[in-house]
Amino acid sequence: MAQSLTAGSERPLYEQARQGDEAAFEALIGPLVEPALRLAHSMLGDRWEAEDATQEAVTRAWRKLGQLRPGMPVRPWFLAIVINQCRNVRRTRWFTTARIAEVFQGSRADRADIERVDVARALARLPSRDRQALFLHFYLDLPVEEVAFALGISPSAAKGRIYRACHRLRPDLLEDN
Amino acid sequence: MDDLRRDVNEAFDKRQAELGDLGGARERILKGALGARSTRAGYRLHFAAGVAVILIAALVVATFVYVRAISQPTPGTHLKVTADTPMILYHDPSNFDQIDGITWDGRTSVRIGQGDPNGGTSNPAGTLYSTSTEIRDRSGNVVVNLKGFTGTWADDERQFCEMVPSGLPGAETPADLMLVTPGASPLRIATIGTYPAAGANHPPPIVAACSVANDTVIVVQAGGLGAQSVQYWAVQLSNGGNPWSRASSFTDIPAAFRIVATHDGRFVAESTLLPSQVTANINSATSSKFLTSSVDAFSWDGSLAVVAPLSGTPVSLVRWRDGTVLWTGPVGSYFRAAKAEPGGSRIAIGLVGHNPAELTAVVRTVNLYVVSAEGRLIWTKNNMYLA
Repeated sequence: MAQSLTAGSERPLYEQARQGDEAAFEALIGPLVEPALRLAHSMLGDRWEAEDATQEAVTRAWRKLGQLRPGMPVRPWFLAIVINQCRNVRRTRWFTTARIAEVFQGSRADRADIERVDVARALARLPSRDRQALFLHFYLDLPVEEVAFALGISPSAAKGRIYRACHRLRPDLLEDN
Repeated sequence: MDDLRRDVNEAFDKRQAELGDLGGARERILKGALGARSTRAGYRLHFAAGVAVILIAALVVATFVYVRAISQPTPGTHLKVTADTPMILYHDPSNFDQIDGITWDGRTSVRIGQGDPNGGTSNPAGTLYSTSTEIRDRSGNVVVNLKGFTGTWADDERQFCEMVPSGLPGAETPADLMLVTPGASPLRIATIGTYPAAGANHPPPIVAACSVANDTVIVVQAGGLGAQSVQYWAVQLSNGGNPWSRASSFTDIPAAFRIVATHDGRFVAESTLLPSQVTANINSATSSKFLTSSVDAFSWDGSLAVVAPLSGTPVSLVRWRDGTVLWTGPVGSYFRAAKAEPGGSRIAIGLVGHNPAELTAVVRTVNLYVVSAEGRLIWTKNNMYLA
């Protein structure tokens, strides 16, 4: 979905952005805005809060450009900023507006619908950190190393978190079906 | 793993569809972010002065609070919400194993405790709530283990009523109305209605109102006289007596009944939904009032009713005795749930954006509108899953 960039491979852009070149910054971060917005929406459940959080994350990314080192991947670095911003929003808002999964009655839904709904329900019951790992790995197609970077954990911990989330989904499906 | 990944991504896709068209979002976000950066840079020069002002203000407020505290030493808690302040409980949407609460004025929300998405309901004041396996109090502590809560909370905020088969489960048997105090042995009040045999196409009787204060329980049995019929009885908690009852049925045309009662069982609205019309009779021990709409809920004192026309939308709050419309919800929104403020006059009306009758889905989240007895919208919040 979003290309994998590293500070080293995009050195000219990265250097130009650090020197205040907005066009270079837009070229560096622009392709990551949509996946960031989707990630924020998955965490906050509200489009406008997600846009606000993503915008704030972009602002912070501009200010933190100095943290980028040659060889450091840009995508998980930026998504980590998005995740932290969403966590801040969740901590500070007086009220939360995230949607939960709709739960279907079995009698009138066909089998495929039931299975999809069961996945949605099982997903919604996962701890949010496990759901984030699945979203990054499955939906945004990030490799485990980038998932780890974005979540601020080790690759083995990220792998374990993804495995654990899958394991939790399967018993749910078996149980409900 | 591939199947799971596909299903997971479809589930994520479904939620992401709420984002709609993202065209323009990238430019808007980048432009906004870079604009904010510029603005903030301009503000940096004022930052130190701002901090100084805030420190001085904090010092003044702290001094005021200290003086006030030593002159009024009685409050023993720092909680903004006391243990019996009526609250609306709901599942935290970011983790619906977590139950949260919000005061009726919408100004304070607090963490309550552990729940689960398939748990039961809270009592009227939100001081107790059920999960699938237990009843918990306002602090989230387990009051009693109880598998599969199916009761209707009483208006004493402590007990609940429920219907159980008096004979062997699975066979058709008379039904017993029980009054339950969590942690104590259930008390049988009366034998009323019929518990259907397993596989029967009509449901067991339910409790529509359980009032300790008014010594009244309303028991409703759908389908007892035929496929399209309903009976309901008023039962006295103190002696199991049956002061009044009603029965209705339609045999020729598709009909559906919706029975809602005031918390004290004084009024029962029997709405009849036919293909061409919807009507409601609000019955009591002594009177009946006819409306040309369905009644979906009552306010705590019973004077106000949440009603809907044949199409189901828009939903209104009316003073049902004289028909005065006090508030009307958005066109295209349908009734889903309501809670009446216990002892108060506000009512929380949960609406959804699609006709529940036309869906196979059980939609749990609602857009909540808290309305005063005068019809003033006090606050509203979207996507709430009420407990």
